Parts: sequence; C-alpha cells; structure tokens
Amino acid sequence: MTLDAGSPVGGTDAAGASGRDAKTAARDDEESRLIARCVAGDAESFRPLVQRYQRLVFSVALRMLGGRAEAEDVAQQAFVDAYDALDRFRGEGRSHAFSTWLVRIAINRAKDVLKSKRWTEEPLDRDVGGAEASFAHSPSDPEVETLRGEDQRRLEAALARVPIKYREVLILKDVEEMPYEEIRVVLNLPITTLKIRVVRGRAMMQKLLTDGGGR
Amino acid sequence: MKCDHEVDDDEGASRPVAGLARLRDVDPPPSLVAGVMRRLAEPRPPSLWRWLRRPWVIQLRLSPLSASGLALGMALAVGLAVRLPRAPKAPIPSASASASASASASVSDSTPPRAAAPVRVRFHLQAKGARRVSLVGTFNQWGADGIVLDPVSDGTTFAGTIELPPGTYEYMFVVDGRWVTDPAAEERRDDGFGRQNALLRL
Repeated sequence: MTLDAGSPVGGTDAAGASGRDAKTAARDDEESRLIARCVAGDAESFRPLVQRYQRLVFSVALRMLGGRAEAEDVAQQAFVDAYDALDRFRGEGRSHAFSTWLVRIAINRAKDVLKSKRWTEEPLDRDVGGAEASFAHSPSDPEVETLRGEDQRRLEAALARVPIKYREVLILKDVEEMPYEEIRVVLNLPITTLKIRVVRGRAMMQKLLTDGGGR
Repeated sequence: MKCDHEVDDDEGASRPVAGLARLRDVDPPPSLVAGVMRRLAEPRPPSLWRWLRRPWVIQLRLSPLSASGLALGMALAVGLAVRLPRAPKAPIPSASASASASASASVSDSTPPRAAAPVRVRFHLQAKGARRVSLVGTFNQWGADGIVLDPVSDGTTFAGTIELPPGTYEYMFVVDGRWVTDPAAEERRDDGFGRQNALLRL
C-alpha cells in the first residue's frame, strides 16, 4: 500500500491554505492511526510511513553526507530509530508532526556519521572559497552523474562544501523548503539563529559558485 | 529583523540560491523500504528505555502469621461484598468470532432505550495456539496495549468483557502482534489501509 508522498513538508503561502490544511489534518490523523498500530506491535503498519517519507529522509541524509550508500544506511537507521521510539512520539501541531520528528532523527544520525568520520566543523567566518576547502561529497554513481545537469552538479558540490551547521539549515530551508517553525523544532535552535545561518549559508554558496569553488 | 546581517531572507538581499530546491528531486534507492522492514524484523539490543518499561515481577514473601492475617482480611472483604445489595445485571451483548455472532444485534434490540447507559459487551475470538490476544478499537483510541483478553477453558478461545456507552465502534483483535478482523462481525468498514475493521453498534 502506498500513500500520498507529501512534499515539501510544510507550507507557508496563503494560496489554497484551507484545502491544504484539511489535507494535512487528514494525513496527520491517518498517521496517528498507523503509529498507534505500530505501537501495538503491528510492524507492517510502519511500511506506509516509510514509503511516504523515504524521499524526504533520504534526501536530507544525502545532502548531509554526499554519498548515496551512506545516505541510504542513515535513512534506514533513522526509520528504525523512529520505530523504536514511536511510543514516545507526541505529535502535537504541525511543527511537531511525524515528518518533523523523522527529519530530526535523520539529521542527528547523519551528524553522528559525520562526527565518526571526524569531519570537523569549520569556523563561523571561514572563507569557504579557499583552495583548502575539502569535499565532503564524492560523486559515486557515474550513470547518474552523466544524467544530471552541469548546474545541478555545481550546486551539489558547492552545498557539500558549506560547513555543516550552515549546510543543515540550507538543506531544510532552501532544498526541502520547510518553514522556520519546523526547522526550529528539528534543529532545536532559535529562529533568529536559523535566519542568520540561512543568510550566511546562502552567501557562502554564492561565493563558492561565483569563484568556481562548486566545481 | 536586523542583526549584523540582513536576516529577512525571503524578501531582503538574501534569496535562495537559484536551483537549490531542485536538489530535492532525488529518487530514494528502491531497496530502502525493504531494508527498513528487514531491520525492523531483526532482533535489536534492548535499550535502557525498553528495559525500564519491561514488565516487572514483584514477589511478596509473607510469614505464616501475616499470610493468615491477610487471608482473613480478604475473606472478610469478600464476605462484606457478597452481602451488599447489588443492582440486577444488564444482559451482556457479545461481539464474537464464533457461533454467537448475532448476539450483538440481538442484544441491541433487547437493550432498553436508556440514554447513555453503558452496555456490557463480551468479545471473544477463537485463536488456537495464540499466546496473547488483545482488543483495540475506537473505544480505547486504538490504544497501544489494547484490552488483553483472557484464555477460556477450552484452550482455543480468548474472551473479555467491557462496558461501553451506546454508540458505534470499530475494533480489531491483535493476536500475537498480528491485527485480525473479527471473522464473525456482522458489519465491517474499510480502514483505509487495505484492511477492514469490525463494526459494533450498541
């Protein structure tokens, strides 16, 4: 059974808000029932949730880590962690929805992997356009790479060179287009801090792309 | 909002890098869902949280004298309870999986039309070889642990009685973790996930 894959996670524009609110409420209600079944021991009820959010979780993990194999491993583990902790999940409001919680787990898992690799966080005002910047991303699938446009490759490479604490915010804000309120819950940071990091992250991206550092 | 940077990113000087949202268009590996479900089926080391939440066995050791006192107290309590006047029992409707499948309907007919008087409903399911059978439904918000049914002396049936206010309820049995629709339910309703909930009208 496959459910509607809701993407992006949240929305802030007013157009069609009431229809989307109703759809979102129905989806949240449906998820609550699935979660209740999972907690009661019906693991199969978790499958539709995985199907629904696999793109989101994998995308976040992929942009955090760079490699598809690692991203798949982190995504799978994030789902398993979520399943094991479902009895503690309290979905209260849109910013505390299951998807938000799932992304939070995935981000933390990805950070664990990055930490274990000892990829250190760059200082706040580091000039990321410098030649010493190291790639966190190494293209892994030649067939996929040839299919991607040059622009997309440059964007991926530039994003991978942005320090983690800016990259994670850019992934959630500009790639997944999550509203700040949800990002605040995912990263447990004040919205002001998030906005500052978004601005700085974007500036780093622009500089990398302008200087050709995204190649 | 102003800080040392312009932070009103949606309308100010800082706008998303063109094309960044397109990075969202990734195809997850086809093996991802199967991989998750496989991992879920594998035994995992118990976590501290699960250890804390596991059932605890509390053993009470009593000396012969205190055990006698406790037994006497319990006997007195039972004796008092038996002597107290009791209201006549309401008939017990049954939502069942066996021969008494029509019981719920017949009891609905026989139930006097008293507003919101709770109705005792007996659920039973034949589940030979099952270790644990519980009942979940809209009456307990599909609660995590459900209402555990007791094994009946025939060794294959599990049963339990609950009181419910008049209304319409959906329910299912959970047999050793597997969700089972009451095979004897007279009415069913699609649950939206490819299965059917049993429907009980009181």
